[in-house]
Amino acid sequence: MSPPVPLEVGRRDPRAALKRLEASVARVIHGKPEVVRLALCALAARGHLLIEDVPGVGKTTLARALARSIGGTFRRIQFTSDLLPSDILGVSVWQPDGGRFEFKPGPIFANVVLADEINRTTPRTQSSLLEAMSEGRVSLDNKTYDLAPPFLVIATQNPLEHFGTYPLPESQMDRFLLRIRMGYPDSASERRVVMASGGDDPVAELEPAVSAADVHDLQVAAGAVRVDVSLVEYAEKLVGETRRSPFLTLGVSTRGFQAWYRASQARALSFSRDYCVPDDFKEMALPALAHRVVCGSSGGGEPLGRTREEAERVIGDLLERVPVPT
Amino acid sequence: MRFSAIHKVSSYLMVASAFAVLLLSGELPSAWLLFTLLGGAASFFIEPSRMRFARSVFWQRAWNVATLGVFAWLVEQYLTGETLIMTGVRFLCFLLVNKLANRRSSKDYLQAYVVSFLMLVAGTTLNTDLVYALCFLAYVAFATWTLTLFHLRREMEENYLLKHSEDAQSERVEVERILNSRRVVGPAFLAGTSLVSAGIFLGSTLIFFLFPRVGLGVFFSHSRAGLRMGFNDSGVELGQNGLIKENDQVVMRIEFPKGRPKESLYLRGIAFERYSSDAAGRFATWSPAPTSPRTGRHELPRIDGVSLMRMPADRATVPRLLEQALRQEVYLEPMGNVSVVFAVVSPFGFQMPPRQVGAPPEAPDGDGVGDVFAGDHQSGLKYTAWSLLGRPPDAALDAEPDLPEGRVERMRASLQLPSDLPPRIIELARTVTKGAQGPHQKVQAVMRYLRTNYTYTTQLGRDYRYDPLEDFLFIQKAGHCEYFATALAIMLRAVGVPTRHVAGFYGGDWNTYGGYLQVRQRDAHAWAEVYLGSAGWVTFDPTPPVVAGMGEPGGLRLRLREMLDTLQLAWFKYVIEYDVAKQVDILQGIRKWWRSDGGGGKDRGKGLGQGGATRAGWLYAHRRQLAIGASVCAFAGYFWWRRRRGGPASDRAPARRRLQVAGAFERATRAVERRTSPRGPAETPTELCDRAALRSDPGALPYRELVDLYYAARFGGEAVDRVNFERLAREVVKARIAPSPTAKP
Repeated sequence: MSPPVPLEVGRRDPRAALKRLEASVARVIHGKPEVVRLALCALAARGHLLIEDVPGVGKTTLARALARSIGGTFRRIQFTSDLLPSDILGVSVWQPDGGRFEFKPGPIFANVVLADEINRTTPRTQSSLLEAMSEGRVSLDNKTYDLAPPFLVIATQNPLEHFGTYPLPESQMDRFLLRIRMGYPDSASERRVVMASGGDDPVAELEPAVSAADVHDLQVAAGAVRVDVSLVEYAEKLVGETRRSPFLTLGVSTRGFQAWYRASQARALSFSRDYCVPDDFKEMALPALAHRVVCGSSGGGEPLGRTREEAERVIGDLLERVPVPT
Repeated sequence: MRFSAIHKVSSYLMVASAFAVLLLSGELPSAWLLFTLLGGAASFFIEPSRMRFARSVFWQRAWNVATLGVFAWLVEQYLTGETLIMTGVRFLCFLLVNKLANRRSSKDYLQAYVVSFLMLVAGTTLNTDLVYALCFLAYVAFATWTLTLFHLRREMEENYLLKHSEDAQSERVEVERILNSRRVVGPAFLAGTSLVSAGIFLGSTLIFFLFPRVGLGVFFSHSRAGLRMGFNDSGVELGQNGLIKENDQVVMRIEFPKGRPKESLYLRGIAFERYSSDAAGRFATWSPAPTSPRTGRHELPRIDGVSLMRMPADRATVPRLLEQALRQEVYLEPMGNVSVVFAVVSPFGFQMPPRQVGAPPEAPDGDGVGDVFAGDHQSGLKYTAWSLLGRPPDAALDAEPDLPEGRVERMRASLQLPSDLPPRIIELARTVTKGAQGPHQKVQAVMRYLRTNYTYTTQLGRDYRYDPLEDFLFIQKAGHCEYFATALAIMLRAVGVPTRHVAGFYGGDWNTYGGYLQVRQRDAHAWAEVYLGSAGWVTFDPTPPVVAGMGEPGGLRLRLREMLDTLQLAWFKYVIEYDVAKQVDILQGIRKWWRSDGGGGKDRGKGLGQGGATRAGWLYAHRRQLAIGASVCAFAGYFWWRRRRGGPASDRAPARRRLQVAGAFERATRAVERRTSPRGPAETPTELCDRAALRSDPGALPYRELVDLYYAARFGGEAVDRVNFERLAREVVKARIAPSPTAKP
């Protein structure tokens, strides 16, 4: 048996780092270990996170807690209909004393970016953000500015509203590694949140749990998680089924498959394993795949929630049908 | 077809194949057959689910009352002498119709199946023909279909609940929809189950032949309905024989261990001495002489289990005589009105096999006239006979003197003439034998006269103004063997030569496939035996030769019939009469075959030639070729299996890695499945564990640990601590769910 090399990079153990990160975030997000885990998976898999839920369930808190715990920079962009791409990416301003344009980086230049209510802005602005997300760099005035890793975008959107919103097109939904829901907390956690309010902002009290280098190691380690060939075949089969399914007009793309694969690797790591098990794939299927498919019956004008539920149901059905390797 | 339709049809096929056994046995009275056939056919169209009358209380009550009535009537029948099995079979027929007409639920179907099974069991005694095997094969195939479908249906109707999700209520399966579905069972199902039943059938056949035999069946005492013969033990009426000339039912089959005899043979059955005609002279009858001092049955002398017709002066010559004699293995069909056994002229010895294991051979009776009676052969008989062929040369017979006066009284029975015999017959006899010296010449004279002046025909004319024999001799001048034999006997008696009338068979067809002689009803024949002093009773056949004895087979139809008859004999020999002795025979045959010369036999494949002197030697000599052949077969089989298992080559999964601990893991998984519910193919063990935990299965905790260890080995390729793994697995298996109020039902 070969030793799991990536796990022992330097003195730092990525699994321990992940644990610390998890504990740190869990100090402010109560009773949602699964959501925290998914968020960390997105980070570990170098992906971005789309949180879809009603306002006031802790989306922003999660994003901020994550940013604080990483110890990197955190920016929040409130998306509105009049937001411009430059408001996100930054602008070049004329410097009279230097006699040249100087680039003033926008809020995207941060380690963790919270794109709040991303569906409230115009597609033009959305796409500027999404390009940065997929490329990891910003191109402006023939110049390319690299974004410092780690770079994690946490976007939120409210699935119930559809007046004055611009739903993300499929191609852009595809840029998010995972789409998750917060869900309401259980009563004990909710009570705790409610009764703790009024004091200081709990997020502000968080100390960075890991360094940027730790995050890098984490991401390397996640990429090195071993996946048995039988699991790849299982995933292939399920992806094939989404493409064949009569209920879906658009199945999972190759990028979607890749995202699922990486997310499953990250989940394995979050359980301190250096190998994937069938449960990793099954658990990550809905968050990683459901937002990438298009339901056959979803006409225009339907609330986002409806189509989302339908997509989740179709993929859930497939998960119930495709035999898992044991 | 719809599921319910397939189930119904296959049920009817199964029941019908059982009933066919009874139907084809011919034992059931035709009224019952008709009732069962019509009732069964009508019931096919009665659908209680659609027809209101079939659901009404009146309908059901009427059937119940009828059942009681029929039962009472059959009990009465039984008490007045009907056999138990026949009353039982009638009741079964009624019950079958009753159940078929009242098919409301799967329960009624089940009862019909039970009735059909009982019919099949009863059929073993009533129907010993080859056709039973066919019906049985059909029954096995249909029963497999039917019982599988029946099981599915009952599961659906009674037990099966569907649960769409954890928190949803269980709901009943839509029975109607499934029953009407056309997709549930298809040709693949029917073909597959038929293959399975064929396998079962082969297996049970093997068991039948190899399983040690004990005793006899419960119903053995029942006799089969016999063939009606043209003659019987108590006599023969002149002219009867013609009726069976067209009948080609096989009466007996004879194997000759020494090979096919060269000439047609006379198979002697029974001799009649008393000739009489009724008062009006319309009918004439041959019958045994009841007043004769020689009649009355007695046991034949026996040596080494062989009953001898007459004991030679020197007992020591018997084995030599038996050696010289023509040995015949006779398979006699049951005969309703004849209990005599047949053997080639002149019979010398008989051996009846014991009818019970361990019992001594049966002892046939003799009556001094040369007839031999089997104790009881109501259900067919197999026996061995030895006959001494050849007769004294004519010169020796010519030398025999006329019957001395002193013997006339002793030969009275063979000289008897009816008192009202027309005088012109006696005159004719005297005229014909004028000038003949000694009894043999008289016989020759009468035979010559009959053969030249009379013709053979089965198209009998009859002038009822005359006595039958007178009619034949003077008016019709044509008749069949009985007339010729009678004429010979009576004319010889008229001139003082003791003669008797013999009924039996002549000729028969040689079955080339089975290598035996098959004797049919139409081979029945009559001739005469004449007492010639020291030569004893000598056979004379006055009938002009018309039919050549053993007809050579010709034509496809005939060949097919021969083959069928061979099968029939094999069925009788190896199934009906199968006993310990046969079993030993077969095993010894196999041994002999195995040890026998493996080379160059004319009926064996070419190319097996060279090599060892025995089969084993042959195998040894060809071991290399055999090994190669076997490996090729094994490889082909393996690849076929791989292909079948993996489906199309493109998405064939590599064979799952077998882990050392896989067995223990599967055991534990099964234990958890038993306590919760089976794991679906798309469910991971972890999910199963979660379900178990929801049911407060105490095995869930160790099982989770076990799953983690298993995963590490299976997907992480990590080494497993087997001891710990097995301990956990045992813990999971042994865990018991404590009954607790919080546990989900």
